[in-house]
Amino acid sequence: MGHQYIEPVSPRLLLSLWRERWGKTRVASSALPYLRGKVNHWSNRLTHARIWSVPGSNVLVAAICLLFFGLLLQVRMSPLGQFGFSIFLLAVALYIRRFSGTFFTLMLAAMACMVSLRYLNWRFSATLDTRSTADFLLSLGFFVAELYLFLLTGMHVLKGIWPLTLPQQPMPQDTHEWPSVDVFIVASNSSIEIANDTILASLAMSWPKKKMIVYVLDAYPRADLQSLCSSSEVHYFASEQPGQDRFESVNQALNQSTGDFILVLDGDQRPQAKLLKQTMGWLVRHQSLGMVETPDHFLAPGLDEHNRMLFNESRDRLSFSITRRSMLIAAGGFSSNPVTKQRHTALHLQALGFGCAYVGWRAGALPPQNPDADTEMFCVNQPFNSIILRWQKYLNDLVAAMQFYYPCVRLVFMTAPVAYLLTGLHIINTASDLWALYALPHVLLGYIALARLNTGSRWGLFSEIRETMLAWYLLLPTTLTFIRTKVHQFWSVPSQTPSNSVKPSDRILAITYGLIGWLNLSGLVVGSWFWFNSNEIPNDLTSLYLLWSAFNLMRLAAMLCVTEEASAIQKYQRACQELPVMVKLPYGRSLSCLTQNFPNTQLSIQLPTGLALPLESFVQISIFHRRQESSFPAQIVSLHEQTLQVRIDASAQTDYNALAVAVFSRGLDWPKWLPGRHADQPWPRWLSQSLADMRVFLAGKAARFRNLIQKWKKK
Amino acid sequence: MSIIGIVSMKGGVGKTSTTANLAAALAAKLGEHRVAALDLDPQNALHWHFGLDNWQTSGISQRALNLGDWANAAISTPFNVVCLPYGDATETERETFELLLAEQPDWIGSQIKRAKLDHDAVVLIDTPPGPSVYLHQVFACADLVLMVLLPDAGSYATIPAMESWLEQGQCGNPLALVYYVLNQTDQGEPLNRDAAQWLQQRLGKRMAPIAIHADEAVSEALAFQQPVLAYAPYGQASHDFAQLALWVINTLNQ
Repeated sequence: MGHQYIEPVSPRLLLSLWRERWGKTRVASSALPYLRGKVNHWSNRLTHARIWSVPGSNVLVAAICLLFFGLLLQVRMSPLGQFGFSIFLLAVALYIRRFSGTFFTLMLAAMACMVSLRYLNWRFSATLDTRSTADFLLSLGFFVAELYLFLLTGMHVLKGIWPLTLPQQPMPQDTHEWPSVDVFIVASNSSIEIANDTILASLAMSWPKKKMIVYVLDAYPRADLQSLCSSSEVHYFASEQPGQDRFESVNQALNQSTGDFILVLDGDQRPQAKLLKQTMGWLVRHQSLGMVETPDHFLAPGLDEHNRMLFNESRDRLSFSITRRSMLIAAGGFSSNPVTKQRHTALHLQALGFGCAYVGWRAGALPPQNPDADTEMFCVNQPFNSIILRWQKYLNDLVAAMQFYYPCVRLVFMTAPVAYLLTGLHIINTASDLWALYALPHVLLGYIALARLNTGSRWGLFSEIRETMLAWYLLLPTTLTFIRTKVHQFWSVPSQTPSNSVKPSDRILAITYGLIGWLNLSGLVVGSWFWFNSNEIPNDLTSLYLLWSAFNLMRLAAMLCVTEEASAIQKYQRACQELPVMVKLPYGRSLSCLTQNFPNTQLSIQLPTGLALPLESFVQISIFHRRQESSFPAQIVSLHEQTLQVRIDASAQTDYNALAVAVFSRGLDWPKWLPGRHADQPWPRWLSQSLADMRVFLAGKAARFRNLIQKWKKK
Repeated sequence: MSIIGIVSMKGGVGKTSTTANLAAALAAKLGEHRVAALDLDPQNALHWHFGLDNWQTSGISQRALNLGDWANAAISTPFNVVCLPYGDATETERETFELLLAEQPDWIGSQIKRAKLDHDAVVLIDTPPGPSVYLHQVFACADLVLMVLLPDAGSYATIPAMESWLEQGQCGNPLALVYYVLNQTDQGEPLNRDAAQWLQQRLGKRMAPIAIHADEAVSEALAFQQPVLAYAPYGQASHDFAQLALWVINTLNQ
């Protein structure tokens, strides 16, 4: 879930969230691979035909095709003609979507483009409302919003056709050939205990010991961190001038290190053991690859949201970058000059012709100490060739610029139906069946084209239909339960003013979405009242507007549910940091205190009263959680007036981490929303049970019937 | 008005210290003039926990025989608890008192009622271990009975006897709530830890959710003649007693 802005939840996102709560994932076995069939053979023959070697032939053919395309766009078809045409295109699309190959991707994109342009053309020419200026402006505005969406989607499709996904490269067999890596841990913003965890995790990475050197970079000299480093055989660099930023720290340390590659980590990132082995493969294999990084790293130019969605990342991901030293020196070090536009090294490298790759990391939802998080890695590559690079870069930048206006357009879509329901202004001035004839192919083919881009496998047709219906159906119980919960809260819980103050940005969002909600609700109420009270059924899009309003409201309700759950999780995690703890003192005495940073192995305990204990002495601490007491041996690290810092013994750390997992895990509370049912079965159990029974019964009858026929045949 | 009886099958489990410390914790939560601690144990040890001197020998046992008023036996302590000691009775005085109690099974209850305490007062009664005439008195009038246990093999072995005993006692007063309270738990000692766990599993909901940890501060507090909440307010035992007091209040309010 994006933390930067809260957006109404799409049905598919809601479905995936429900599935997460239930612990059910979309069954991977129902994902089908792309086929290679006769059509692939034909398309290969087509693309490699000798006709293309004739100079100018491709330009001629392109011109002819474009002419044809334009003609098809323009021709006015009768409703039956449009219907037939759409059905034909849809059938072709459904057939070829099963096959792999860029040729078919382009075909699908072209078909979707054709149908969408026909839709937009029809909208512009036949459905703008000209009765009055206000009507016209409103419908024109809405048309512009639809046009914008089409352009944006089109460019996403274009962008998505060509990025490559590289599989993971194995390292060469002989470990002597493996390059040396310097690990820079930028610990300027981290406290010593967090930096310690990172240092230990870095030292634990599986790479030949002689080929990996760890450096800790600090903004100002810290004696305790320095002693920690020297005890772990880690180099420590601290800058002399205060306030040095991360770029300069890294640049300084570059001069004093010698490894072939440089891995830069922030102080609070805990690398997993397999990190180097998984990522260095590409760097070793492709000599022109200069940098491999996660999109959010501070040394990387940021990716836009859509590209980021390709990575499917959770917010707890690791952020790192690995750079090749030779190229870094050619680029003149990490540039930190904020004045020049090309601030980022990756851009430097790209300008020099070296490639830059982004790595996606799908980490599990466990707390970072757990080393067994299931990770999956795939990579989106910026092409290495500088000519294609520039074109792609401009396209990406254009898409990012247009994406900026997306929230505006979303707002338009959320309030559009209200315009008709409350004021009678037509946005789409046409009959509903005609609209469906043009709009449905537009939506369906667009969906088919988009769905092809993001994954290496596809879902079958029935699976897709079922998923979509399930996703849309799930909005209903979510909304109903949300309403029930709010009513219940309103009646039973006494009004409590929230303890934390509301941030201004949150307030603006709250006001906006509140306004949208009230508008849609009033539109729905007024519209349905008029609809039920009118004598004849008007042949316009009133029912569409009503459904649209209802859908907007449900999406808002789902969004509120999701954000409330996210904030509840945050509160819970913050609350879990402070657990009651008992410190056993000498001579059988004890002290009852509170922890301050619970899952940390260097535990900070808030003391209610002064304590006199020698440093480095061993104590026993017991942590209480839900009437369970867990006891761990620990050693005192520091003792101030109100705070005691202890380090849990290494022997007890596995148990301690297990306790952390147990404390932070949340139970399944969403099942209470649909008691006795699973979210991905839309119908209640008695119905599905009776259907299953009926199926068994009929199958038995059919088997008996078949036996009867066979017996009769034998006679 | 609520009456809490602290009982146990075996001796040495810490009934008297539990009574005194729980009384002090309740007084800290509820305020002045609301908590009274009554000592029915001939050992006459309860008043030591409140720093009362022994020269005041006339406790409830002597006054009972003279049909005297209990009000004069009540001594206020600086810890907001009113203490009624058993008194330094001779052997004959004690036997006579016990005969009196045997004849009138609800004598203690009626005495408490006659004292006309406030309706929100809490009276804690300390008893000697094992079956005794004092125990029957407590069972007749208590709203809440807390049975104190140590997490050891002996306590586990005597659970069946305790349960039949409690059943008999509850016949006279079916409305009384009975809970077991574990005293002196210590996770560091394996037998202690295992016995505590086993007892919790065995007794389930009948065990109070709060166990008192083993803490030297409890014994040291007695040496200083204070409740442990005054002596070591930040110790684990004080924390446990405070939690236990809260739980007792909630249980009584239901």
